Amino acid sequence: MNKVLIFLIFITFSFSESPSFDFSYEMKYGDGTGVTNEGNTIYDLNFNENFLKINSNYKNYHLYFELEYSDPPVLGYSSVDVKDIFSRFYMDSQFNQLYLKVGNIYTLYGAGLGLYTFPDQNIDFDNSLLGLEFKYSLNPYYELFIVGGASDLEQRTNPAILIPNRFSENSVIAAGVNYDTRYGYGHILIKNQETYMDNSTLITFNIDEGNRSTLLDFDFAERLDQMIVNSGLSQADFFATLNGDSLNTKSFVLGYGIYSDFGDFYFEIEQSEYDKLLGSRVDGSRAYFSYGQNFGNLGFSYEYKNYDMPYDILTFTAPPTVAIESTSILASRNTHSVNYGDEVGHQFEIITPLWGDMDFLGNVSVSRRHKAKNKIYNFSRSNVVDYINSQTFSGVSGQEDEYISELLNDCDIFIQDQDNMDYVENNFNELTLLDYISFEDESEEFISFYPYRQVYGEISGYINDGLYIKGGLDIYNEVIKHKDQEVFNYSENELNAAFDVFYSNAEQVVNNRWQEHFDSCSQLIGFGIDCGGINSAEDYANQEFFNQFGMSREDYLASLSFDAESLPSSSNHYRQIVDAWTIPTQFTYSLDGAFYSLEGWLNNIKNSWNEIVPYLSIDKPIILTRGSGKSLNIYLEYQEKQIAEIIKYNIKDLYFSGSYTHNNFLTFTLFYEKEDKVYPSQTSSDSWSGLDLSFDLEDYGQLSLFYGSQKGGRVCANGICADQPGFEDGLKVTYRTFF
Amino acid sequence: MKKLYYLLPFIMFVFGATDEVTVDDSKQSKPVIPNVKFKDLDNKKFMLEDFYSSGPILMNFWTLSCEPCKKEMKHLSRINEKYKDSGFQVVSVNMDTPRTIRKVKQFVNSQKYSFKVLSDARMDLFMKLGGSVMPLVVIVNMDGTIEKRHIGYSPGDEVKLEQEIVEVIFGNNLELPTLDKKEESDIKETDKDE
Repeated sequence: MNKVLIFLIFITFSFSESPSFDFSYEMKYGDGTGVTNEGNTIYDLNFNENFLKINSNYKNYHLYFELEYSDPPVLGYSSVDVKDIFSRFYMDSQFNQLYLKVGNIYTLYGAGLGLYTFPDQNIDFDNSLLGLEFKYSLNPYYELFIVGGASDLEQRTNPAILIPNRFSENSVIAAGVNYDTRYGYGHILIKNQETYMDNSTLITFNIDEGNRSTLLDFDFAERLDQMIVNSGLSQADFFATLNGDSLNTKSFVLGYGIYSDFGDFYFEIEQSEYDKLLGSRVDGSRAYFSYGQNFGNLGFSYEYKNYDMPYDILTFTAPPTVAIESTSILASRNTHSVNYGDEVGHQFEIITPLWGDMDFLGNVSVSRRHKAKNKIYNFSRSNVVDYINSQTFSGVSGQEDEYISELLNDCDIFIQDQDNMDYVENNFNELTLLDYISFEDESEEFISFYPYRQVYGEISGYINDGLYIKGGLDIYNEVIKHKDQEVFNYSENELNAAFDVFYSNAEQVVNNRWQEHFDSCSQLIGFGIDCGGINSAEDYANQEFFNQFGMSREDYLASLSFDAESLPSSSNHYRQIVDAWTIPTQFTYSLDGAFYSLEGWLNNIKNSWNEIVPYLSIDKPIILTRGSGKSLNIYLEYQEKQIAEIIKYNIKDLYFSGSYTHNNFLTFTLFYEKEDKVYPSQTSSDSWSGLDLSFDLEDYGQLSLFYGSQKGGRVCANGICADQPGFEDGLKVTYRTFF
Repeated sequence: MKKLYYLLPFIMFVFGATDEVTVDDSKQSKPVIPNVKFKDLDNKKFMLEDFYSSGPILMNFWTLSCEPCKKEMKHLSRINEKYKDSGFQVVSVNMDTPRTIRKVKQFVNSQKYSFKVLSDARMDLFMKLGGSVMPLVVIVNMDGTIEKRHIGYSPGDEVKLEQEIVEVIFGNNLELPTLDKKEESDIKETDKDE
């Protein structure tokens, strides 16, 4: 960002008449030990993050500055240089018909299929465009808009990575119209995006076998392998010939919604033409639909997604997840990893009052990939017969054994090579509702769809003014990783037929060789000369054959066979399936209410006492010392999870946090978490505990001090989930204030 | 694109010179809440000024995933009902993004809150108020100046909030609505404690 510009704007505001300034400051400090989520890397985790947000109003203008001094942050790069400290900035103005925004553009159109930019400090993410947004209202019903800008976007292969490893230079321009008429509301958006990624970023898309999960992963890795083979170069040399890759995306988005007596409907579709990474141009689409209605007190909502842009790299959009985002600490670690390029899903949710202030919330979310298939390879004798027939013996006498041995070996390789088999792609039938209900994760056909199912129900609310409770049950099942099954069909008849051809070929070579020896010896015997002391041509031929082949002709021919044990099996695929259930509970108890209740109860006893023993009556009412803002807050959760990979193992997790708040000033919290991992042959346990003291300093802000350990794991914020590193034996300080 | 930025200060002056100053200079010691455009859950449009021009407001910023926010809102609904006749009102700002926004209306309707709920999926106003965590509560005077801000919620906070609302109602030269005797004695008792 240009510092001259910032200075100019700041001066403009400072010397303007009566600007209003507003500051907020946030500090996060930590000193301890970090643990990556795999649990196998331990490192010093010291962080010092400082954020100063400055907001200023002048007339109809608003100026926003965010300054960040981080040395270092929890995630991402240090920000200590002046150019990095001015991390975000924008200015916007709202006039009667005109809206103008310049700087870091955070914007959203419709459901976010076409354009959605936002910051998320928790996961070190910011896809804002440095540019401008302009809106002009033609009348109360139609508004024209244009958004344009550039962004050097930083992303991660995996959210667990501490610093970004994917970088792209982007320029985006989008324009369209928002409409809001009596017949419905929505928007039309047309977008053009140019993206450039250098070689170091391209390599990060070549995911290792075993970690691939999306069509983008498989497609890019397989194409890249082929490109490298075709080039005849090593991978390093191949990349040296590249100069990154430029991608273009053209999108058209239509959003339409209407509020009616029959419910609120909204749908949005995106149609795009885009470039595959190092590949051809393809078409893709995304669609989203929602419906909501209240039937009396019962609120019902339904959402549907159909995302079909499998080779797209998500940058400046964030379509709806259409999956539950749990508020439970443990259940949120199982949040569905949405595949925004290839997924069809549904979500149903109801919320209804039960009694008093108690509510019931129920949610069912399911999704799957568009297509699932297995790859069937059928062995056919014809290819190998052609091969055998093309490999006639052409060597000199005495090399027959080598020829047959090599031919047999080549036949085995040929037969085992799937490229020499008849390939059939077998597409499975789409899943039905019953499939989601039964969730047969032993069925290869079912898990090939990467199915996801989550069912959640909770009862929550205030029992009375002082007591809030929540209890729920979350059931989660998802296939996280799966590779298309490869089925190899080797018909015995076909194999035998192929072997017969090989055998007759070998037999002919063997017999010819034997015959050569026989004939040569017969000639000598015809001249009255023995064959090296042997007077029988047959014996001589047998001996010479034995010398060359190491065994008799009969034994040799009988020893020949294809290597049936090395034929590929149909089970050479990997998978990761997670099944979990979680019980989250929460109790919040206002001790003020308890004091009132206790006071009433004691006064009732006192009144009864006065009636029973009037001569010892107590005149004064019992008044307990009433605190203001004293409360208890308890989270208690339990989870059992089974992860099926090469082996199956179970994880049992217990989470507790209890807080006491005193006079709305001090909150004391104890955290404890225990995890047992049960493997087939061993069990391991781990636990984390910590203490937190928080002070509400009113006009001076909020201060929080934490000491102890916290388990790393998935943190979900605003629909995006990130794997945060664990924290052990350390101190964290957080301070927030407005001034 | 970058050249456009240099025009910015000049654009500000040109447009600024033609627009009325919307803020009373005498109130400049307190920050002013930006007068932004909102839609409610039925897609009706509002300017924030539409709310605070007729009486002080309490704004709370929340999402469906924020448990403390939802606990606090039950009390805010009661407070809104209690003081609405004085001109005061609670204006609730939901910040669920498109990922979850379609469930908000059903949630709000089922809870039968007494206050108006607006939608700010871009978190525009939240950012302009320097917000970083929820719940965020902002009390705004009739001239748009920000009187108080609170972050977080613990049971019992609503008692303190109610006291501040009473002060803000008086501070804006408005009268408290007629309260029943119990409520009146509660307020007196609270004053006595202080």
